[in-house]
Amino acid sequence: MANNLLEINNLTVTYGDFKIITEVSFSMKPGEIVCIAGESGCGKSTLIKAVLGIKHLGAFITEGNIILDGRDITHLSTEERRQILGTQIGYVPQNTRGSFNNIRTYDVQYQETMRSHNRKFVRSDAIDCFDRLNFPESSKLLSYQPWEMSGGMNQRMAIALAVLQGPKLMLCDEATSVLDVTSQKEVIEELAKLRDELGWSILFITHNLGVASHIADKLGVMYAGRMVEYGNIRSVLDDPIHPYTRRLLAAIPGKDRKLPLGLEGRPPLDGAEVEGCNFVPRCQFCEDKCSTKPYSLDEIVPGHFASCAQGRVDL
Amino acid sequence: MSGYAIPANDVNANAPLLEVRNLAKSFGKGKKAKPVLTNLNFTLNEGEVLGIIGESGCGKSVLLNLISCLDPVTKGQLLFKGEDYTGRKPGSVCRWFQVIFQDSEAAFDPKATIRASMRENLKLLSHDVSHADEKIDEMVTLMGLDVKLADRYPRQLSGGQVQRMSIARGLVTEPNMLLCDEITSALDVSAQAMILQYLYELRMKRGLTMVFVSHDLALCSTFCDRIAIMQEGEIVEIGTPGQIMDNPQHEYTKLLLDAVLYVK
Repeated sequence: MANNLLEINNLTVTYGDFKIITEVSFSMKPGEIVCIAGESGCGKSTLIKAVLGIKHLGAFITEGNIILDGRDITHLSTEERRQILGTQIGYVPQNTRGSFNNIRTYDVQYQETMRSHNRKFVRSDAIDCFDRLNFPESSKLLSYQPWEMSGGMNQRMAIALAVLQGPKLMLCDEATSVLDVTSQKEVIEELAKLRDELGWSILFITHNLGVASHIADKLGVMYAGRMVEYGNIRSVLDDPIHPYTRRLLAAIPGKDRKLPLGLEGRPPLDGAEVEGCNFVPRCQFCEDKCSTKPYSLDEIVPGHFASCAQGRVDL
Repeated sequence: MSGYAIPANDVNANAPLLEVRNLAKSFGKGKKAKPVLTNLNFTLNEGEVLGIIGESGCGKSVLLNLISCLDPVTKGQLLFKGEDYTGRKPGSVCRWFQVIFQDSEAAFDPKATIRASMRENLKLLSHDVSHADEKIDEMVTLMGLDVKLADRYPRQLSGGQVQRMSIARGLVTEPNMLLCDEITSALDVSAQAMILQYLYELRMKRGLTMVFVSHDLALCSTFCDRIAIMQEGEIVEIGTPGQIMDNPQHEYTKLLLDAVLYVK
C-alpha cells in the first residue's frame, strides 16, 4: 500500500547468533499512534533501533525490510541515514538524562543538534514550540542546564527538540517509564496533542498497557522477539486473544484494588529456534498443537491479528 | 505476628512498632537551610503495611533514610517500640530495619555471587553464621526463586529476579521491618506483579511490617493497609486505600488519583 508511512515487512534482527526480532511485520498510516508492548528483553527497543539504524550496535537486519514513506531505508549508508534522522524520524529515548550534556545549556545543545541535521536554529521558533506544548516559563527554558530540571521537564525538553525538527514519524522508546505518574500523564497528553494538531505519527514503545490504552490507535504485543497480537486498541484490550496479552493485562493494578497477577518464568532468551509458539513453557492453555504449528500472525477478527494456534481460548 | 525476636528490654508491649513524632529534616545550615521534611507524624503497628505516595522530590526517600538512621534527624523523634532511637548510628538499628532500593543490581557487589553477598549481610549483623546457607536457601525459596540462582552473579539474573534476591537478602537478617524504596519502578509490569505477589505471601506467612514508598497510587492501593500522601515534605492525607481512592479529601490526592492511567 502506498499510503503507509512506515511499513515493516518480515523483519528479522540478530546480534551475532542471537535472534532478537523474528519475522515482525506491521504498518503505520500517517497520523496514527501505534504502541508496541511487551516485557523487558522482548525486542521492543531493538525494533525502534532497527528503524533508526543499528549497524553501529553490532546488530544486523538479516531478513525483511523497512519502508518509510515509499523509500526502503533498511540498509542505508551512514550519510544517507543522517539525512533522514531528525528531519524525517524523531526519537525520544527512555533516559534523556543520558542524552543531554548535564552542564551545558539547552540553548547550546539545541543549536548543536539542529546544525548536525543541517537545520537552522531560530530561538523564537523554539520558544513558540514550548508555548505550543504548554511548557511553563517558556522564554527562560533555553538558558537552563539539564541538571537544574526535574526528570519530567528534561524528558519534555527532549520531546520539544524532536518536535522542533518537524519529523513525519516520532519514535518514543519508553519515553514515560522513568517519570512519576503526574508527569507521565502530562507527557502523554502532550504527545496526543501533537498528533491531533500536527497530524503526526508516533511509534510508542511501552510495557504498560495502561499508558498504551490512553494514547494508542493500534496496539502490538511482542513476546520474545515475535509479534503475538496486533490490532485496533479497543479490539485488543476488550477482547484479547493471545494468552500472553491477557497475562500482561492482568499484571496491571486495576481499579478493583485486587493484587495484580504476575507471570512466573522468563522468556526464552538464548535465541534458540523454537518450533511452534515460544510462549508454551509459560502458557496455561497450551495443547500439543501449540508446539508444532509454525509461527504465523493470523487475522482472527477483521483488523485483529494473533499468533495463538488455538485461535481463541475461553478463560 | 512476627516470628522475629528482639531483645527483651526493648519491648514495650503497647507501643506501636514505629512512631514518628514531629519529624523534620533540612539540608544546609543557617540562611541556606532548605527544608525537605516538615513536621511528619505517623505510627506503624506490627504487621502493617504503610504506603507512602508522592511525586519525585517530595522527600519520600529522605524519610526512609531518616527512619533507618542513614541521615541525621534535624528535629523530632523516632521511636521503635516506644524507645527513642533518634541520633543512633545506622549500625545499631540495621537489625530492625532493612532497606530495599530501586536499583538492586547496584546494591549487590557485581564481583560476588548473590550467596556471598547474603552471607556478608549475616556476618555483619553478627548472627549465628553456622546455618547461613540453610537460612539463605529458605529465604530464596520464600521469594519463589530456585536456590541455584543464589550461586550466580547479579548480572546473570533478570531485573525482577535481582530485586527478589535483594528482598531475600534483607530477610535473612530477620528484621522487624522492611523499608522498600520504589522497589518496582525499574521493572516491567509482569515482574512488578510477581514481586507484589511474593511480598503479599510474605505478609500472610510472616506478618512482616513494611513501609512501601512508591509514586504509583494504583499499585499501593492493591496491597497496603494504609496510604500516606506526601506533598513537598508534608503528609497531606493518610488513610486506608478505600478512603483515599473513593473519598479523597485533599486537592493533591485528587490530582494524583486523576493521573493514574488505568487500562481503559
